[in-house]
Amino acid sequence: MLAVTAAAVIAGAAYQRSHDESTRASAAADSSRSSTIARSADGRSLWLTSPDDDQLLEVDPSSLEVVQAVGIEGQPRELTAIGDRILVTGAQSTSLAVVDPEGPGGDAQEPGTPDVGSIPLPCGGSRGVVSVPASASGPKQDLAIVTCPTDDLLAVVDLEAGRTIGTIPMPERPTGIVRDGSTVTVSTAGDGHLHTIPTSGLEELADGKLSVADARVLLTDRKVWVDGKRTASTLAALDVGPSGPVGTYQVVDNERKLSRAEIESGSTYGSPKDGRARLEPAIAGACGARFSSLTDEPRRLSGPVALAASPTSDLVWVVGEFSHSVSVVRCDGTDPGGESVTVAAFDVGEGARGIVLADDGRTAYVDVGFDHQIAELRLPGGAEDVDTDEAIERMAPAKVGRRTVDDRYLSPLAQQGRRMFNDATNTHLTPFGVVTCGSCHPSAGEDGRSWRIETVDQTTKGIERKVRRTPPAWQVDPKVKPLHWDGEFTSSDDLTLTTIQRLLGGDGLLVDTAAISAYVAEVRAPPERPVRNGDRVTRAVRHGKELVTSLGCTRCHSGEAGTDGKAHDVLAPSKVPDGDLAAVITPPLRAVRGRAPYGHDGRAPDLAALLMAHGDGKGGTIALTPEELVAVVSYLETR
Amino acid sequence: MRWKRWCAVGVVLLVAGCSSDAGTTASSGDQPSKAASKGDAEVVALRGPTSPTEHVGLTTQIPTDRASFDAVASQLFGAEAAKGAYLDDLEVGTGLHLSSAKHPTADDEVALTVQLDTTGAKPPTRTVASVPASTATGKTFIDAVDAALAQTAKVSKEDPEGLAPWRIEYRSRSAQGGQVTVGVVFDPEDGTNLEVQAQGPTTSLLPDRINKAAAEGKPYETVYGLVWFDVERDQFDFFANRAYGISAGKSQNFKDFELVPHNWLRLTVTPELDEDRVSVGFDVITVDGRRIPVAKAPASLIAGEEFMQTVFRMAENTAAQEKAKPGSSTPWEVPFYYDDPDGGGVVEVIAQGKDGISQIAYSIESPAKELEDLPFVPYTGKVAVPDDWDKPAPTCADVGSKVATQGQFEITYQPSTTVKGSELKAPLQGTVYGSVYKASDVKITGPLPGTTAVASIKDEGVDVRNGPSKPFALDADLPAGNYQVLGFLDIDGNADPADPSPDEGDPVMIPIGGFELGCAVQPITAEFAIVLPPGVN
Repeated sequence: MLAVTAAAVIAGAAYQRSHDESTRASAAADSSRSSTIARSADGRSLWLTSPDDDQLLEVDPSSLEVVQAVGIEGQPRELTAIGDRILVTGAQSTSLAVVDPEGPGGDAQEPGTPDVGSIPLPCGGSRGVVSVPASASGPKQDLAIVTCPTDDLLAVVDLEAGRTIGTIPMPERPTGIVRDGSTVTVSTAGDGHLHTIPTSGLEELADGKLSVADARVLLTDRKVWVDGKRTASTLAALDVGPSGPVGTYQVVDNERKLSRAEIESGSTYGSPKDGRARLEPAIAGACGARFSSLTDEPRRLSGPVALAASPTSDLVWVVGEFSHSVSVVRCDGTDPGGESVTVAAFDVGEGARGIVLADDGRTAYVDVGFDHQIAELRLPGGAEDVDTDEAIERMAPAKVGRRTVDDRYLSPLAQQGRRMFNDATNTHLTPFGVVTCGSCHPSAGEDGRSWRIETVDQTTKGIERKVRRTPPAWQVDPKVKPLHWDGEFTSSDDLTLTTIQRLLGGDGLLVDTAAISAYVAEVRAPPERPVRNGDRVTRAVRHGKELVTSLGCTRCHSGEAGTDGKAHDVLAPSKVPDGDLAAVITPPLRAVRGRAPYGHDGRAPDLAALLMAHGDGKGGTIALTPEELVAVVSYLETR
Repeated sequence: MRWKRWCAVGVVLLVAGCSSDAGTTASSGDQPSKAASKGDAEVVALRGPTSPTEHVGLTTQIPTDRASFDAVASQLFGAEAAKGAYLDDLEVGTGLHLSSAKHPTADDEVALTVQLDTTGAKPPTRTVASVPASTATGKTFIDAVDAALAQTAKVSKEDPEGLAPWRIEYRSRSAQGGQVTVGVVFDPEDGTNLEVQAQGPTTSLLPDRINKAAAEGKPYETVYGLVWFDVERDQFDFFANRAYGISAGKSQNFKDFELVPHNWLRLTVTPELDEDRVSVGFDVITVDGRRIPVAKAPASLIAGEEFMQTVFRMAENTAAQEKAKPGSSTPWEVPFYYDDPDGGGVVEVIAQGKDGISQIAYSIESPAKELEDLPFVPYTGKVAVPDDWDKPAPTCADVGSKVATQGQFEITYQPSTTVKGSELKAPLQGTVYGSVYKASDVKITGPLPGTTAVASIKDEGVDVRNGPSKPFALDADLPAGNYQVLGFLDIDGNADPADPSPDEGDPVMIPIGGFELGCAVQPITAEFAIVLPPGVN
């Protein structure tokens, strides 16, 4: 449950509110975008979330100094604005925060104490949010739509009533969201789809004319990446430009088996194949899907976590969290199947995670999360005319504003580990500079993919091929050994160094695994999904919980860590090529609801399928009646 | 021939008390300049860009132990520093201070600063160097030192004779802030010491660039290690063959080889025979069992063979010399250096021989990690340049005389700032005894043998306590020419007038510069440069 504090801090006595609308963060009336940073309608304020210390910050864009801080618990993540209010999601929150920065009755001239309200969400952690203002052709009341990746749903929130009025199921982890007029576009990270929702349909949800089950009919979708055997992964952010929605994501070449020669030569996911990264950033929309020249260091981009489309041109600014950079690419729709030319690039710092553009489309403000700073970037004249072959250099920000943060969640060592975990610039971690730990474990979680792992066995000299589902990094508990599906690692340090050397291809020089181990030990899993009292779900959940105990599930999924750390033969032979595993180390059940597909080989698309396959490994499965199956799944979906 | 440790001499840095003849190999801190940008150079430049530069540095040591080191290092750039609890001030020698502070622009870095208190000059406290350091690399350095200290303690308890020297250093290099090296040095005879090396930024000597940074580029840090270990001749033969020789087969290479007695340091040699080389890697095993790879560099088989043959040659020479006359062998050193500075770091194998005893060492340095720079550290002392320093020499008319082919000196005495700042045994007054020589008869060491003075000085009642003395007219007609005046002020009044000679503490002149006689009366100012140190006459 989102706890709310309204501790307002006024920093900087010299800052005077000389403007009328400085605290009125808002999007243009006909669109709404979600990011970790936004500009007020008059451009005189920046708002950004500060998840490390649970703050919503107002920043003076001219000095880049914080002028107001509002406490919001639950690791505030993305925000958007509607009128005077700012809507804020939270990675560790089960509510949507609604902030009136100037307080009830306050205005720009005489601001009062900020007012922070919360609206419960049916989600354990939320990410994107857009507003849908009341209008003649749309809903009669102001609404918000929130993406809940762990719960695979969208929550539709009535801002006037202060409640969630409906949910729209959306498998494969809804992440990015943007509204352009009467159309809401949502991206799903797991499969790289874009889904569109007409805002007119939301009115029926609000009126109760459309049930949650029926709400699926609102969705249309199209796959955004088709490129041989490459598949989309982690579609992270969306915006709307003159040519419509644009998004950033990663694509994966994970199907082709490597030859012995390739394996022995050190081919890894961190090594390019045929000039291409096997896990590389891409753009969805009216753009060439590939970024040009990833081998060109100034243009190299990794971890496309946010983007902003210029309102005045065909340029798109893409934030590379792992490359510590921002690339400006041309997205003119001339060659959607080809490459987008990077016309300019900036170094911005570690943990860049959000971006917003000024009205001129040539000035950008970047939220640099790990460095706790805002970088102001300015596009030089003539950048639009840069072509593919023209050399560019990464530029420095025009200005940087820093703030001191007392991290509430991570120790200094874990913060250090977080930097390493999300760093593609350290060639000792990842030689090509594109793939890093965070590529498959976004936010220290997992990507929903089953990865092909191929090595030469040093004893038998045979090639060992296996397919293993990415486990969440936050699952690594230093007290539990052995680790990983196969139980092949005796410590998280061993697991980390081996992953760096085997999968990323790094030599690991000066990589202190203690920092990364501290990070994955301290980073929090998504919170449990709230159970609403008094409805049928609660009864099923209660019954499911009883069954989990009575059926003996907790004998193995036991203890504080949720695992006995032992290997069990509980699955039938795999139908996934190279997916066999004689016995699997018990995975914990923490946040199990958001970890489809299930099994060490990703064999089960949902919890029900997993439970039906869960047995003694020799064909026998857990005997559950249909009612019991529903109850157990209901319970697990709250975890 | 015995192969034993004889002295903990590193090739890159010298351990106090050991030989300083280590100039035959390149310092890993002075890695060759790449001819092209990072990673794509096929050749390296023989010389880097040349420009006149200067710098000032210092090295100091204080005893330490594991508890003391951990406490200091944690605050310097370890866990405490990461939490904001920095090292306020560690005196690493009288008037020498090491500290750390919050980095102004990088949350994961600190500012390391070395300062010194002057012995009376202004400003009284100077910053020698101030460089960035990451807490990540700082922690790796601390972990490595802890591992080495733990192993040393173990060997010391179980097999004291098996102890061998080592040093581990954290190094930060900055164009703006200079260089700071924090190291821990162990020697069985000297114990464990914390060593701090500081060097101000390299500054330019180009016109208008004095006291400005001469270099540019991002600062960087590395971790450096040097371990010595005993090895018998046959062991060297076997190991070197295994590492660098053709016998380095895939199944028999070094893999996680413990460099006894430095068991915390592991060597892995990976054959890359299709490329005619091996890859030599070093991992540190921390006290809690973590493995931290620290350096990895390629070495060619053919250079390895050359190294072996060179060592064998030197060893055979030593053996022959010792056989002919025990104790007659000459010292030698054979380094084998290989690096991948940007990719994997630097490795150097060092074989040494002296007094018939030989030893092997591995010197390794991690690849450089870039940092965020700090402000430039200028020299802050005050140097007063006289306004008239380049005024033309006065003419004879200027001094109230006339040009002549012979004349007399009119001498004014004054003490130097050094003399005035010295601890004096008596006030600056007394009799001046001295001699005038032809300038060509005097070198810096004094009058040349066989030369004689052209005039003697005895000037009683000279008083320079408050500045220059009254002029003294030397009653001796001398031909025009160049002369040198040597003399002393007998401030304690104990000189023998018949054979005057300065004793300890008397202000004396030294033969620098000289005086030209070209006027009938030639005024000159002779300076007492220093007080005579003990044991000099």
